[in-house]
Amino acid sequence: MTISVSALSLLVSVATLITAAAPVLLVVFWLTDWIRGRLW
Amino acid sequence: MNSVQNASLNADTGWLILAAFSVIWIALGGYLGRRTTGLEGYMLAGRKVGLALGTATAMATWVTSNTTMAAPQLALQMGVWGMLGYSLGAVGLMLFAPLARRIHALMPSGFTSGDFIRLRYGKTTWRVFLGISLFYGLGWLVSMGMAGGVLVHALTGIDYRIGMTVILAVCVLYTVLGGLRAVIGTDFLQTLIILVGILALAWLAIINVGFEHMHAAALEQRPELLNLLFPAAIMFLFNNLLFGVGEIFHSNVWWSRAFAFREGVGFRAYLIAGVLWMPIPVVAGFIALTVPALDLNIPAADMVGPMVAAKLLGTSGAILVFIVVFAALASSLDSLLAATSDLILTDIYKGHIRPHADETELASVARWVVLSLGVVAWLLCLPRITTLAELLYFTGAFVASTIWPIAAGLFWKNTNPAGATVAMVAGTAIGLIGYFLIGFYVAALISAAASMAIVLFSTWWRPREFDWRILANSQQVYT
Repeated sequence: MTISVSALSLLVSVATLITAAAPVLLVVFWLTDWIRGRLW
Repeated sequence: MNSVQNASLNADTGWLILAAFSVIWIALGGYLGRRTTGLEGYMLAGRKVGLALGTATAMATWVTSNTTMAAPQLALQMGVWGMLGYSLGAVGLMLFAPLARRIHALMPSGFTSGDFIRLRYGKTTWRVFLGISLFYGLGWLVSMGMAGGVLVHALTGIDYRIGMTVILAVCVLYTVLGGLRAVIGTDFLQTLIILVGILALAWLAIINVGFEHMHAAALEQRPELLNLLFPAAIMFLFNNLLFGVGEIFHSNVWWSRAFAFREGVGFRAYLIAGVLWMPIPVVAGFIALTVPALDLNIPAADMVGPMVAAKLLGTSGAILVFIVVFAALASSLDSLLAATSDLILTDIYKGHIRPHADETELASVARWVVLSLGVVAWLLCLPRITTLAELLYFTGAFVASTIWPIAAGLFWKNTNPAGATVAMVAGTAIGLIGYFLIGFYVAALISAAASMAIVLFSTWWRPREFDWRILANSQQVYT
């Protein structure tokens, strides 16, 4: 039983999208903490 | 040109990158640590770390050179399950989220995981736990140091000893200068570098090779990579999950962050870090599936990441991989140095040698402990004993035995010290028997199961009520 092309592309695409969102999210968190004076 | 040659940079370029990033990390660490005062400031970054830095440091520390290099290797060896199994390491981070909240609530003035075990279970359990934790911490530190030297050599041709020495010295220097504040601050930047680098590689693989071509070539040349019924890989998946949970639950790397995070941050930071970390091994690992389509001949499975990068991007690919690997190595090495030093300072120096040492004395000794630990790690890395890295597989049995004593000790007031001690000792022993009789992929599984059975039975058989208020005063004298 092998993984199909569509399942593989879905798995990798979702993983890539989440990974792409991660740095954006971290920068947003950083700015929010910085503005609120809660970075450290 | 041959892709193996392409995967390596020339030594001059390697030195340039090494020097540039060494200066950045040391300068940033020194800058961030310039206002660090007192023991709490140095060991726990003042206990006010916010969500952004908290999430990034949890992610960066869990992304080791293993994630960036071994995820593609596992995908090449175990196919789809290899990368999925690796990504389940995120479960440990997510499960630690409620523990971090509980730890912060029960021990607002705690310093180390050793503090908890000592106050919750007493000295015998504490010493058994310290043995496990220091063995694991030093083992991981040395394996990371050796990985640094090996990777620098493989990617640039720079001598193993020189590469290892530079990477270790840089991490020791900025950790000595700025303590946990420097570690967490640099982790933020390192996380961004790692994420962008891995994304760039994955994106190039998708654009240049495409899923259809990748799938068809793999199906023709290496069909096992796409096989969903791969028994050894499925066992690896569950073992890796428990290994990860054990590593995170017991290690002071994660406890020190739970103490350092601002109130209300621990739960969210660990949960978000777990969710964001989970896809990284899939993204880093899937590029190995392009090997058949790219018609690459891989002489050593652990070089598959750099070789695919070099094939897709040429020298730029090799530079990108080198920068990502350096960031991943530094983000884990600095955390291990800081957390293991905290354990040595608080639980060995104060706990066993100078029980009446005050905060001023401990604050001044702290930097010397980091430096000494760096020197010891360097000495152990020098001979490049590759079997030492394999020793880390052993630690699966050790760390998995601590999962239940820690989780039950945090949430159940009736779990007793004898049960916790026996669970750690017997769980480790039975896990090691499984390691030798069956294989590395069952050691953590068997150890955790045995430890769980002992904790559950001993709690039911001999319940002993614990007063949670004892944990609130973790600064009590050790004698």
